[in-house]
Amino acid sequence: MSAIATPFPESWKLPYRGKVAMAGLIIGEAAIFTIFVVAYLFYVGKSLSGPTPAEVLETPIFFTICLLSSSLTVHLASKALERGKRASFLGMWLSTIVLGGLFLFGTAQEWHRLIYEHGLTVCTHSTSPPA
Amino acid sequence: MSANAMVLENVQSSDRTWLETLHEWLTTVDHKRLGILYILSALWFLSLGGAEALIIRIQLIHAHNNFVSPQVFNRMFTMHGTTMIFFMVMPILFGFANYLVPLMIGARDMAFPRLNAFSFWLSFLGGLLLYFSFLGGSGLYGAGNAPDVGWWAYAPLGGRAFSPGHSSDYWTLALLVSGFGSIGTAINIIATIVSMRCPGMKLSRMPLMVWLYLVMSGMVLIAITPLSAAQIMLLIDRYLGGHFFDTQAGGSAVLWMHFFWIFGHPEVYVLVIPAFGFVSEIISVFSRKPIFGYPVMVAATVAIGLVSTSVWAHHMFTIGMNSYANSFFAITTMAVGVPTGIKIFNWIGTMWGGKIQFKLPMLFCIGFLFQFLIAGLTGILQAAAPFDWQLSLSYFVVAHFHYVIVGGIMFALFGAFYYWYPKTSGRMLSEKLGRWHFWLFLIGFHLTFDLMHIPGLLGMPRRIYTYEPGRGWDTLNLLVTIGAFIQAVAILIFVWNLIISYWKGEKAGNDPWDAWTLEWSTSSPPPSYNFATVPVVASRRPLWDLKHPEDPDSRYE
Amino acid sequence: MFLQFVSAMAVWASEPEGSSSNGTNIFDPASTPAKSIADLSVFVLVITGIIFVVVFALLVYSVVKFRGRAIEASREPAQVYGSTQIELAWTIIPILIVVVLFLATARVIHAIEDVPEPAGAVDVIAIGHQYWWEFRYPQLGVVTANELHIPVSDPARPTPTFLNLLSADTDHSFWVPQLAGKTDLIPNHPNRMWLDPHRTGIFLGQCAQYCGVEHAKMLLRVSVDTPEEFASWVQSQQQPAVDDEKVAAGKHVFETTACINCHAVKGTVASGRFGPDLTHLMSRSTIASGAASNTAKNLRLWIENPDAVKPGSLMPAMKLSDFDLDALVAYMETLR
Repeated sequence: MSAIATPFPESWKLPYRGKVAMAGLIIGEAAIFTIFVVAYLFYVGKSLSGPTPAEVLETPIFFTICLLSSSLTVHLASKALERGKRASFLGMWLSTIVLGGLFLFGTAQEWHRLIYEHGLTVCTHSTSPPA
Repeated sequence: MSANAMVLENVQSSDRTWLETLHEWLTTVDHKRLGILYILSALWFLSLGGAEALIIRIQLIHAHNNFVSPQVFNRMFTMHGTTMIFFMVMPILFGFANYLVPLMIGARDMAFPRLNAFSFWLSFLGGLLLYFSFLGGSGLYGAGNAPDVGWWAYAPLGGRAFSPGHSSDYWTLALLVSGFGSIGTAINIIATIVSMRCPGMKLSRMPLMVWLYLVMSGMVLIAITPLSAAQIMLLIDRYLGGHFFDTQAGGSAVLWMHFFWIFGHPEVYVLVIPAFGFVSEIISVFSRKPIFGYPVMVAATVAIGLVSTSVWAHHMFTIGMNSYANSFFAITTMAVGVPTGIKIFNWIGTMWGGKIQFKLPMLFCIGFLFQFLIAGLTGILQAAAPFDWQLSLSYFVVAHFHYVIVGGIMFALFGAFYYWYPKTSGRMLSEKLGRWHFWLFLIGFHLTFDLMHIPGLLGMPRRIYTYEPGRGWDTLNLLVTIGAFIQAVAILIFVWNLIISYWKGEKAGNDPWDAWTLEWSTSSPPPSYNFATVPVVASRRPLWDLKHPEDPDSRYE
Repeated sequence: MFLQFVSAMAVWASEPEGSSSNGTNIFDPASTPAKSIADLSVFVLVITGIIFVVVFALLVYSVVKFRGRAIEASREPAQVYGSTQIELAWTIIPILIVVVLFLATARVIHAIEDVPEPAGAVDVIAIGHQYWWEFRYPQLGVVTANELHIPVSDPARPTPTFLNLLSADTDHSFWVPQLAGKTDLIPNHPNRMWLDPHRTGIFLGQCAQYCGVEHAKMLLRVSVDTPEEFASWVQSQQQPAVDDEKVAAGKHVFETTACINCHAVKGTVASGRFGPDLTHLMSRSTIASGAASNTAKNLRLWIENPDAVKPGSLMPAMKLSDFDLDALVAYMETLR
């Protein structure tokens, strides 16, 4: 076949399959969560008995910073690993774990408050009392 | 490199025990083996879904029939729809993709072989789970039973209040599990097509079928996922006290409908687009011409993929949306008919001026063209929303979608079987049995599905286990049932052909059809590594270039 | 497709105007919504029919004209890759067709859906149940089941009927093909539809949205009456139940067993709403929402063993003794 082909590109480089697959996975996940968000938006504020989001939800600024910066630290960690900088990698990696752990703790705290103090569960709905 | 690709001799000892062979098949990650497993499993579910269809048809053979009870009938139509869509058509299309896509792009395997195997087994497990419901459903009377809420499981019928016991849970879980398998395979196909093409195969040089599978896989990612999300919410309703779709507690039945059809409509395009792929390859080879208007075919497919995400509520014209919403969905539905129609014209354009060989793959594809045209037009009829206020939920719709799925997709699949069976097995399928299959199936198909439109026009709703005499439905239903049995016989002949030709079929060689894409350059069946050396291509039809060095495609593309 | 079109035309043309026995043929409309739909459908059928004929002809022509002969198999035909002009043409023409179809469609959608309710309209609330229809006429104080009575509508002075569609349980759909397209009855989602029948007679239909086991037997009978007949029907429906002493024993059975939990009989203690209102049961020609005709024998069987008439319906077998059952049926037979 190479006898016929016009000289093919010297470097035949295609996107790395791992990246393509991750992109595909993220698209799929985004679609699933979009549906959940639509359901949430459809029902938000429609509860007659339960608390409204405005009453009980607070923007978790600190824990959001933790979560988002853990993306940065893990990125820096993988770059350090690529360059073989062990100490740097360890530092970033452990920071990621700490930040992620803080976020999980904050989320657990928030859910505990919502469920036990405000009675806000998945059962809370328009006309029915919290089950 | 010559047209007959160098093949290293298979070092395959024939003295393995059957247990070792079984183990090999159960643990394989080879795309060709997994492709065959998908196809065999789909054929098995075809027989189950087909039996359910025959039970439905016998019950409806005349008014006030008593062949099965209403409870059994309702399970039959639910299981028939669920089986055929999720455990027959989807897997068989993934099976063909698995087998052919790496070969067509000159790759050694799919991008992620183990994910491939995992996805297949998830899919298969889903099917087993669904059928286990017959034994384990623990319905109201203690006996096991299968889901009976229709394949859409509309709310609130699918919720705890109206569907006690576990039959609906089997529906939900089976589809959730196999849905994740479908997502896995879709990701795999996309990664394979994007990252594993052989040198020289730019996106604009891929066989059209590969493009179509790329679009189909992208659609799977955004179509199956809404169903998974909705089913998770249904499970929350059924088990964790949620009320998403529980209308007695303020939940919304219409929300389920929207979520289901946001999945359901793109899903039917997911089913039909690979069929377009088979037909494009086959019509091209058997008309002895390249596909007419390749770039437009690609663009039209992408357009179909995009527009089809905006038409879903044409399944909901009767639910009482306001006139603006109804008008919106009417126009988007009519609009999606434009790129679809363009494809039909391009296929005719491919045949035009050609030298048509009426071999079996081509016969089935000609049937496809004729029937898909009709199916598309009855779709346009229903896009006229007020007309759909009569046609919806009647046998007209049932006739329409079977026209697409059986008259379109199944015919294309049969064509694909006759075309690629020689590649996978090294033997040709029997022409004689094939012609019996084709003509019997054609006659049975038209007897059933042409006539089925009429009871719909005469007011017969769907999903009814019996009907009143004197409405003009009786004779038509009888003839429809007879056609169903004729189709069943034709399929038995087909399955027999698949089996007997494996041993007795004429030897095929690498390229029995004088075709042009890369899979025909390797042996039949291909060795486990597919290609001894990595192919390098310069056009869409690398084998044409090799066979016609004086007039290669690369000069014109 | 062609077969379908021809059969649709045949079916449309065959029904004589003004026949009192009506089928369920969508091409024999007897009311404005059904007629607008039938007219639109003919228009759409003609257009798609033309498309079909043209494309089918091209298909047949290409299959016949370009069939390959074995002798010339060695020479391949001219390899044509495409043609911009042709492809443009067969893109633009379908777009134009879609525009035309859409305009016709949108007009009818608005004509049917956006009609304001006129002053002389009859209001009915239709509530779908598993597996029967409840009809309430709020301004007239009438409650009945399964068989709807509405007045014929004179185009000069229209008296259409506007239905509010609700559901007590799952999704249903009200479909009487000759009077209108179907509209669903969805819990928590009230819908509205209207009918203005142009001729009197009985019109048949049934539930079109799968609602459970006995979806197939949730039939509809619509009796389109002359204004006088309608007024007289309303008058008799507004009366409380007939109270005949001869069937006091049966009435006693009714009132002391579980019947009153589900059924209502106006003027007695029975005020259940789970099952049909039985005040004027004998004014209906069928029972169990069309599953059986309204005879004493069927009624007795229905009460004794509902599963024999409509297996899976939500009416329980009352397990009455023969003596009680006979008395009860005798009582039911007086509820005219």
